[in-house]
Amino acid sequence: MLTVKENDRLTRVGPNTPMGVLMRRYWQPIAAAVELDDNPVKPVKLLGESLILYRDRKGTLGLIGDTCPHRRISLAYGIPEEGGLRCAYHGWMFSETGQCVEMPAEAPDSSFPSRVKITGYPVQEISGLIFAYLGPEPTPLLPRWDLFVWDNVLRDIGSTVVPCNWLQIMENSLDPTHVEWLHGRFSNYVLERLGRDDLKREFFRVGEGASGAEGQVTNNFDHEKIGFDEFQHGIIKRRVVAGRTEEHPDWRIGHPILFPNILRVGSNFQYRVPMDDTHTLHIWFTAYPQPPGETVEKQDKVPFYHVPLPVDEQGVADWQLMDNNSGQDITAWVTQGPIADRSQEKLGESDKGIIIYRRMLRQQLAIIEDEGEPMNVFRNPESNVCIDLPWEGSEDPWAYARRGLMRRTSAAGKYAPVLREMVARLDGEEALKGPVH
Amino acid sequence: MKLEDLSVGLNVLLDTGDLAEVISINDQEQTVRICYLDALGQPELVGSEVWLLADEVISIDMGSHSEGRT
Repeated sequence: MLTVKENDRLTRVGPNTPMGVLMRRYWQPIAAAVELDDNPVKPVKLLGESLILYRDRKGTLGLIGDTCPHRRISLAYGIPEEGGLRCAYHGWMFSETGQCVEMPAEAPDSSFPSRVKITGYPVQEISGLIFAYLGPEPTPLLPRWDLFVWDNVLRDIGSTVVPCNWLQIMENSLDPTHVEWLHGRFSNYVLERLGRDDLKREFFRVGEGASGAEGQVTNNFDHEKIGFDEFQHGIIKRRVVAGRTEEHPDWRIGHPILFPNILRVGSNFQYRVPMDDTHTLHIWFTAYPQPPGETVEKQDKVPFYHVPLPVDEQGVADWQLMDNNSGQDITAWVTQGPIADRSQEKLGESDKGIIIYRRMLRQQLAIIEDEGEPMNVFRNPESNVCIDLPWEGSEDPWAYARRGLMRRTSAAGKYAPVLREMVARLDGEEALKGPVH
Repeated sequence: MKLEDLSVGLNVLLDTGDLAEVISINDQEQTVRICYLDALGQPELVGSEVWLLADEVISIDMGSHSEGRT
């Protein structure tokens, strides 16, 4: 439970709020690069600020304030040119720093442009994902997490805007036991309602006729034990489920939650980017390892897909879109309310991961208040060549990826183009037709 | 937590995220008296004592590691 004041402190992200200040210390992903192919100008909401992302005709990316300071029209209709973005109304042009560089209707020798500057933030692209940094200088390095750097993988990027606060989404990642209910029993109920009993998952406890064996591709299991370890990049989440032991990678390796707002599952990152206090850009970034002996060329463009929302802001659900983990999670997050009221919650022992994460948030806030540097801010290029993370598939990436292909319809991956392409390549087009869950 | 798993002198994690030391235990009321050791959201609480329901104690403080049966 949190007080109302503390709930506000941990959830609100606008300029000059404690969490807004902390979040601004990190590069945040804002779009897939290919989203700018069709229209090179894209409105972006990030940490309560309304901005315009654009790619000019030289290929330079810019992220600037969304309003022309001249007559206050939206720069969403700006014209990308060689040196920046030009306002549609009277042609004022702004560089990627936000500096006005041209005012066509003013005298050619006027110094007025040099005295007009709007917001401009640094942007960088890595592996097809565009990141922005809204914090103080000096700008830190864009983290080169392993999934961005690996060779011989294919990648894709999915996203959706979830109409709720970012924190309730992140807390879901510190909550292992929801998996057996939301993605187990409730998932089965959804499938029953959809008339797809054939896709239901089995559940067992040891000694009750277990149908899944160690290492087998199968179902969700009931949790026997959960654990959490703080590590240099965040928290490692561990679980022992029925029929498995602490030797299983789920416990021995676990999977990391990267501070402040990234979940790593297998070879997938899930970024929960606060757009404002009540909307979160959820990004799925996946790197797909390839079968042993096969090589793939580096992609010219990383494909992008949209993940449909299974529930609207009033909590009305489309059951057809709740047949997968991501749809079920989003439904839970949205129905907690725009900002979950933690002054009314009742936490138990199984919620200790959530509590540990909140402690970490508060510890890092305290570091900022003491003018220190929070975790995961990188400034040394030598340690940022490739930041390797522990992950469950590290001992046999292809075996792990193969299981992901077989379970492709059970999460947002069901919408992922590269995953479908890999299934078709490895198993044939027919494999895409049948139900797999 | 179950009251029988707690004892005086233990450091515990509360459902607020605060750390505390168990000062005394009331078996009849199923409550524990704790002294705040670390209250990041409300530092003024540090050093103060209060009775809590045992349910409000989430786990024994294990430093950077935490685990439990479900």
